[in-house]
Parts: sequence; structure tokens; C-alpha cells
Amino acid sequence: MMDEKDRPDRVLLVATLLLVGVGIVMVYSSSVAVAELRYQTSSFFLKRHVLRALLGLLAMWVVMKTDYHRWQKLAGLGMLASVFLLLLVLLPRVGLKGSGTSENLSRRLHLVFVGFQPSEMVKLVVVFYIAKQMDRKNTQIGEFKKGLLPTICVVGLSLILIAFEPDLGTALVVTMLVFTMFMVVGVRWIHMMGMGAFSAAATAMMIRCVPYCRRRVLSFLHPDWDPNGAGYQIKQSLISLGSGGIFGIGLGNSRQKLLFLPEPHTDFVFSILGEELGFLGAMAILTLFLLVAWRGLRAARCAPDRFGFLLGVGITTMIFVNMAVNVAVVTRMCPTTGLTLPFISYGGSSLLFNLIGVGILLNLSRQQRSRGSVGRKGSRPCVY
Amino acid sequence: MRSKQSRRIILVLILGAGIWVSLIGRLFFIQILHRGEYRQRSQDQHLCESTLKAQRGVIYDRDGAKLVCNLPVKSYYVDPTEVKNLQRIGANFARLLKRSSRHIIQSLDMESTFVWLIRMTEPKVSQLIDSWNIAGVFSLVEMKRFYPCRQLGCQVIGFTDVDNKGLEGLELQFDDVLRGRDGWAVMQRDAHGRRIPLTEYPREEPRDGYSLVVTIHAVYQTIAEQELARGIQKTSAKAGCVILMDPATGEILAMANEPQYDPNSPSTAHQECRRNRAITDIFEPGSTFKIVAAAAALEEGVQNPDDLIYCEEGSMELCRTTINDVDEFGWLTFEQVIEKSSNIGIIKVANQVGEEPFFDYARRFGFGNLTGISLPGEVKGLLASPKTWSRLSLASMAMGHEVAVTSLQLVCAYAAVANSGTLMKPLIVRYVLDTRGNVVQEFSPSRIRRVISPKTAATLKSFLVKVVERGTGKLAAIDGLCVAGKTGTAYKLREDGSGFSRDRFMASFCGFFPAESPRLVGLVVLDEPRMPHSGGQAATPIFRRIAERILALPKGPCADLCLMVSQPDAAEQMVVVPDLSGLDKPTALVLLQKRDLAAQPEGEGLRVCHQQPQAGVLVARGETILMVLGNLAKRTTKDSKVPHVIGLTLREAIRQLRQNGLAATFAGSGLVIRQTPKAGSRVGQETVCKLECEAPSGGPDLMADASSRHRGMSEP
Repeated sequence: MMDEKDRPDRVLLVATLLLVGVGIVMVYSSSVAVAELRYQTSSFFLKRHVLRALLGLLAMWVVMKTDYHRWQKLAGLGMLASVFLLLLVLLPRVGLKGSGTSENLSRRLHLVFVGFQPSEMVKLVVVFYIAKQMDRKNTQIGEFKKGLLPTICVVGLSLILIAFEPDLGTALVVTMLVFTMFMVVGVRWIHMMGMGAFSAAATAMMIRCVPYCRRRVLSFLHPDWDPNGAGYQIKQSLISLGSGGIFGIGLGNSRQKLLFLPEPHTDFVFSILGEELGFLGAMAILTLFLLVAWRGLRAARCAPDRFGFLLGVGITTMIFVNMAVNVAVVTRMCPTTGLTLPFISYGGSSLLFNLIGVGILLNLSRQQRSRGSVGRKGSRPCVY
Repeated sequence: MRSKQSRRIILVLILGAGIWVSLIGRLFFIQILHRGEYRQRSQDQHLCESTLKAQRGVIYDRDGAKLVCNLPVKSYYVDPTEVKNLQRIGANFARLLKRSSRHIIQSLDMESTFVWLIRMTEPKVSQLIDSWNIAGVFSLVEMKRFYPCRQLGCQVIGFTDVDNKGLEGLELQFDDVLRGRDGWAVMQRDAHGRRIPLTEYPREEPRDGYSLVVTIHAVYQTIAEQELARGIQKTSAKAGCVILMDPATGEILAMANEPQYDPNSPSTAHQECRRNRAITDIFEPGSTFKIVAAAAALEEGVQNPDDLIYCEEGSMELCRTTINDVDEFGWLTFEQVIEKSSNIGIIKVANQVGEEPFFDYARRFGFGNLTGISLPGEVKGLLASPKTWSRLSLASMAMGHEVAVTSLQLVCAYAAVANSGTLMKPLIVRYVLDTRGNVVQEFSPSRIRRVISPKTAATLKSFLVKVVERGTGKLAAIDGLCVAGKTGTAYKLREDGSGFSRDRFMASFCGFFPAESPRLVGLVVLDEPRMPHSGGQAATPIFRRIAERILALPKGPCADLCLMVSQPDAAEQMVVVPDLSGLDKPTALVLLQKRDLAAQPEGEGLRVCHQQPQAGVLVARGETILMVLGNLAKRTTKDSKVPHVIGLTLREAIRQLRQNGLAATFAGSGLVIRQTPKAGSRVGQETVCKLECEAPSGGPDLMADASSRHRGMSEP
């Protein structure tokens, strides 16, 4: 089907590779002290991270080479599997204790040999599922009951399960995915606003009634209230970023990673990056993400069909929202959520599924030129 | 449809861009606008100024033996934030600290990150604690002050607190010198409080403390302490003190106080044991003080040694007080007054001297004044000025009452007599050395003043020799050596101040030897000896035993006196070092082997050109002799003629034999009655002659030592 000359989007590829590369460096730099303390070898996390990055890049390459339409059929099955895995995580014994926060969370699954985080997978699966549903119900989008409700129900179920884990960050990302994809697909504003109101009410309920959420919000509002918990983490994160200044204090020189900042290599890797590379380094990273988002949306707009378009928008949203929430957390713009920084944070599941996502975007970008204006139904010419 | 989707995607783009810009704005706010504030907070928690401890200086004895050193030991602290199991800490340390588990847990301040648990543990304890491996308990290496000789000279050396601050003795007096100067460094700290030194930050290196070389001779000190302890046990005394001093330089060779304590654990020591009685305690000296009146009378020329004094048959009424002598003396010469320690006699002498001159001489001898020794806590003693005296005062003072002196003052006064009338400042520290062993400061012997003329000193010495030969100090006599000294027995004042106690005494003996050119002054003071209680019976034997043991030593400041001791068992253990100079190596080795001596050859060469110890010195069997080989002309070993030594004192006999290149062993004491090989026979060099001695009857010591003493007297 595909010509060999159909090159993937080089800009997107290079930006992604750069981010993964920076991630490897930053994971090593930030984890040295923690690795020394826990495992007596400074390269403990580096080795694992490099291995996972290679695995992720291999997956990306495979996905890039595979026509994305092949995954369409698997979307429903994937959704089913996701729900199953989310239920499994909730079972005691199977779920691994999350290492990311002090809370007793069970977010990870112990699958055969490696710890696996289903919520990372769920995000991608939800994108596929919504894209498939919206593509199929093209004509019923204006109707709430027929067009939207089934999708909302399925996704809502997974959302409830995710919230039960509890993984508020992923719940937030999934919600954002639903809204963005519904928006670009052309759902009526009135439906959008209704859903928005419902989500807001649900969120308010959560914060009021679930102690865990309540604590998060409180420690966000009053960082001094819980100095050894989340509030402490945020304070240390700000100290990291702030002491970096414009140019940073130099790669490898971070002092905050000397066990002051908990989990410096996972959720808070951006703080260490900001400390060592400064405002310019942080801005460079954010620019790379902007580049990824721009090229992702471009690939989506030039996608050969509606499914591809929705897929592209969804995946781009997933990556961008993930990044934005993570950075917002470390800069104390929103409560701690436990989301990783895509491509950069240590964590196999996150890296794998984000790279698979980029693989799909790259596949989209490969298909747009050869198909161009000759696409099937609903194809659009490339705007950019 | 298309336009709607395009509009919506542009909306998404705008939203995304908005989010992105707000993130950048937030970063700008934190990283650029507020960077100073955050940097400060970062530094506050990362950097800490850490003191780099200077190592405290060491204290050496005069031969370089370490009296104090520093030992790296482990101290343990708790970081309560790291503790996982509080109960475990409590339970494990309860036994070690001898405190209840709950008490220990309560003492941990959970707010801080550093609480001392146990400091300066012994290796056994630290091994035990390490083996527990409790989370939250950390160790730290500190330098502990360690006194390898334990209680040796403890009151002189003193001790430090747990932070190595000097609290007593030399440790206190020279604290500034010993302490050095701590340095500091900016350290990086991780959240666990562990410190990482930073090279790019400024630091000040510590300067280690200077070391002291004291005048104390560790072996003399040991001997003094052992003999004092033995004497105290024998006489059931409460306490005691011994001072040995070099009269010519004022160097303190030993300063022993009983009871003692172990400075390695000063907290367990009773306050009584800690003070250096020799300088902090005053007492009425009794008869030992009589030299003041005697010296004054001789120097002022109001009495001659042969002048007769009537001693009132042992009892005299003075201002409604009866003065008694120990015996009913009639007419005594001035010399005999001292010899027999007649109170009545010395009172009459003092009356002739007069109040003002007597007081003046007492002051000149250093009584009523600080001696100026570099030790903390010295007191002046009590010496009232004549204006405040009663009519009985002069008489009391002449006998050594109504004055209070320190042991050190007394020994200094006798040293002045021994040193031909010149009072020396007592020295305890000789050098201050830096860490490389360079001399930073030297304390030289310094004379304070001439107290009496050499002639008076010589006469006084001859008085004191008589005391030991015939008088109250007989027990201090040592064969072959002329010892001078004076005993003292004073009633102690009752604690309630109602006059003198009838059964509590201060017994003392102060003496020096050899009388002709004194090398060592010694004072023994016993506080409340029970049986016997007098200075002559209780304190004097201690002096003799110390002197004998010191003289038997092959090394030390008095080694060249090299007197053969009259202790056969000691003599058995000792051999004479042969003269090796000029011998070739194999011959020298054989010679040494014959005498059970080990050899340590040094240098390249055919013949021995230097040896250590010198030939003729008595050393213990098995001692190593250092011989330096060089190119020296071969020594012609010639035969010696054995001199005639029968009838001579042992000391004289050995001197004559040595002049002829012969060594000697001996048995018995007194005069030589037999010698092998016979006089006049020719023997090889380094032959050991055997001498047999016997104590002659009837004032023999006097005759025997007459010649040597006269020589001593005529060369002031």
C-alpha cells in the first residue's frame, strides 16, 4: 500500500528522539543519589531506562511501519482488556504499590516480570475507542443519545475505575481527551456544556467526599500544612526550579536531587531539569513538546480519513495534556496528580505508550502525502 | 462541516497555545523573577558550615614517651526522622546506657535530626552497636583523649571533657596550646544530613594543637607512685605526695599524689583524687621547716655549727606554753640541734636571728609565695608578716608551725640548699613542639634568687647529711651514697580549729643526693599516717626505696650516678655494658652475646665507633645495644691491672675498677672485704670483678664516706 518514498514527518521524529535522549540524560542525572541510596549503584535507573527506551523506540518503529487502520478493529477489544486490567489492579496482591507517592496506591500490575501500569495503556485505548466510535457514528454526532451516550458510558466506566485506583491525573487526561475529540469532531456546544457541567460537579463531589482528593487539594492550597507529604514535595520542586535561574547550575550539579526532592527521576524530573539547565533548558523542552503537538495536529489534519484525524488529535492531546499537567504540578499551578512527563520521566509504561502514540502519528504523516487529496471519505487537503 | 471542524481545531490549537504560554510564564516567574529567593532557600538547606576539628596536641615525658594521645573512637547519634523502630533503640541501648528504655525514647527530640546517643565508645561496644544495625542510628568518628599510662601522673597531666576541652592539670593550663585551631569548610548536605565536602567553596584548614614535652620522667614517676602507694598502705595514711626534682635546673622529674584516679574515665573519680595536692594543699611542715631558722642563723653569722645550745632537758616554758622535745637533750651543738631535731634548740637559734630576718629568710626561700610552676590551682600557703605575730609566733614558726606550705614550696627550698643557695623556678614543661616536632617555645631553667651563700648552703648540707647519718633520718641512708635530708612530723590542726590534734600527723621527709653534688631532691609527705606516724619512720623509708630504685635504673637523668644497688635480686638482673669501641663486628657480637645482650648494628664499617648505652652502664639482661660501625683504628686490647679495693666503700671501689676498664658485681653492702681476681693480677679488659662487702661496726659510714664528702664540700 505504502510507497517507500513516503517518509514520516522528520520534524516530529527528531523532536521525539531529542526528548527521549534528554530523558535518558535527565533520568541518569536526577536518579544518581536515589539509586546510590536504594541500590548502591548510581546507574541502576539509567540501565533500565535505556532498555525501556530502546524497547519503546522499537515499538514506535513497528507502529510507524504498520497501517494505523489495522488497529481500528482492536479498539473495542482493547477497551475490554483495559477495563479488565483496571479491575485486576484493584484486587489486592496483584497491584503493586505505587512508588510515585507516599499514598498507598495500587496503580501498577505485576505482569510476568515487569511492573505494568494499565492507566498508561488506557489513555491510548480510549483515544482509539473514541476515534473508532466517532468515525462509525459520523452521522449521529448531533444526537446525544444515539451518537454520544454509548461512548460516554464505556469511557465513563473506565474513568470510574481509574478514579478508584485512584489515579486522578489519568482521569483528568482521559476527560480532556473526550472533550477535545468531541469538540474537533463537531459535537454540539449544548452537549459539550452539559458534559462540562456534569464533570465539574463530579470533580467537586470527589474533592468533597474522597479524603485522598481532599488532601491533595488542601496541600496544594497550603503547602506548609503537610511539610513531609505532597506539600513538601512541591516546595522542594519550586526550590529546584527557582535555584536554576536562567542558565541553570549545570548538568549533574543539582543539589535537590540529593534526596531533598522525593522521586526526582519520575514525576519531578522536570524540576531537576529546570535546576540543572535553567529557564532556557526548560523552555527548550517545552518548545520540543510544542513542536511535537504542532506536527501531531498537522499529521491529524492531513490524515487520509476521519479515523486518522481523530486518532491524531487524540494522541497529540494525550501527550500535550500529560506534559502540561506534569509541568503545572511541578510549578504549583495545580494539585499533585502523579502524571509523568512524557518521553522524559523514568517509567516503562508511560514511555512505551507515548512512543507508540508517536509511531501512529508518524504513520499518519507517512500516509498523508501519497494519499493527499485522493483520500477516501471526508478527506481534507493539507492546510499547512 | 469542514469549516466547523477547522474552526474547532483552531480553537483546540489556541487553547493548547494558551496553556503552553501560561506554563512558560509560570516558569519565567519562578526561574527568573524569584530565582534569588529560591537560591537562598536552596543554599540554606544544602550548605552548612562544618567545623574541621583540629587534633589536640600530645604530651610527652622528657624521654619522648607519650603520656597522652588521641584515639579515634566511634560515637553514635540518632536521626529521629530516619528511625523505623523506636522500641528497638530503646531496648538495645537501655542495657548499654543503664537507663530505662522509656527514658531513652523520651530523650530523643523528634523535631531535630541529630541527638547524641552514646559518645566515645570502646571498640567492643561499638562493634556490638554496629552489629545491631538499627535504622536511624548513625556513627561518627571522634578523637578521644587517651591516657596510655592510665593513672600515671594523673593529677599533673589532668584530663579533658568529652569535647576535648582541658579541665585539670596540664590539659587545663596549656589548653590553648594543645587545642590548636579548628578549621571550617562549607559542606554540601543531602536530605539525610550526610555531608559531602565541596572543593569549590572556601575552607580554612585546621591547625593541629602543639605538643608538650614535660620534665616528668615516666619511669621515675612510676617508681614514685608505686613506692608512695606502698608506703601509704603500710602506714595506713590517708593521702600522700612525692616530688622529685633536679635541684640544678628546677625540673620536676616526678610529682606523685595519692589517691589517684584513671583520667580515662574522670567522671568516676572522686574530687579528692583529682587535685594535685603537691601544689593545692597546704600543711604545717613541722621540723622540715627548721632549715629556715638554721640557714638564717648561719648566713647572719649568729651561730656557728659548733656552738653549744642548752636544750633545757627536753621541756621549756614559753609564754605559758610548754615546748617539748622528743628526748631530754642537754647541751647540743648547733649541728646536733638539727640532727636530733630539737625544738627547744631551734627556738633559741631563731630568737637569736630575730623576727624580721627570720621572716625575710622564709620569704626568700619562697614560702608564702607562688612558685610559678605552670600548673593550675597553685596556692601561696600562709606566712604571716611579723606585724601580726604573737609572742609565740617566732618560736612556733621556727619549729614549722603557724606556717602553711605546699609540698612544692618545701621541695624548692631544699633544692635551693642543694643548689648551693640558689632558688630555681620549678619547671614542669620543657618544650612546646609543633606537629612536625619543631620547638615552638622553650622553657629554660630560670633562677629566682640567691637565698643563702654557697658557704652557708654547704654547711647546711653537712647538717642535713648528719641527719641521715646519725639523726632522725637514718632510714634514708643508702650504701655508697651520701644522702642529705630532714624529717618532719607535725601535729595536724583539729578540723574544728581548737588547737592541735593529738593523734593525727603530717609526716614528711625532704632530702637530696649525692650530697657532694646533688642531682635529685625528693620530698615525701604523708597525710595522717597511723603506724608509724613520724616523718623519720613513715616517710623516710619511702624516700630511700624511691632513691634505690631510681639508682638501679640504667637510664634516666640520674643514670650516670650508676650506683650498684644493694638489692641482690636486682643486681642479678643487670649486666654491665662492655666497651665495644674499636672492636670489629664479630668480636663485639660475641662480647655482647656472652652477657645476654642483643646487638643492633648500624652503618657500614669495620669497627664499632659508637655505642648506646655507653660502656659501664648497668642494663637489664636482654637489652639491645646499638652499635654504629665506622672505620676506626683497631683497638689494642691491653691487659689491666686489678687495683686494690679492699677496705674501700663500694662506690669508691667501683669507681676505681672502672678507671681501669673493669666492671664489677657485688654482694652485701658496706665496705669491700674481699675481691676476685686478686689485686695486682692482670686481666683482660671488661673483666667483671666480684666484690664482697660487709657492713662494718660502729659509725662506719661516716668514715667510709668522709673522703668523698669532703671533696663535695670543698668545691662549692
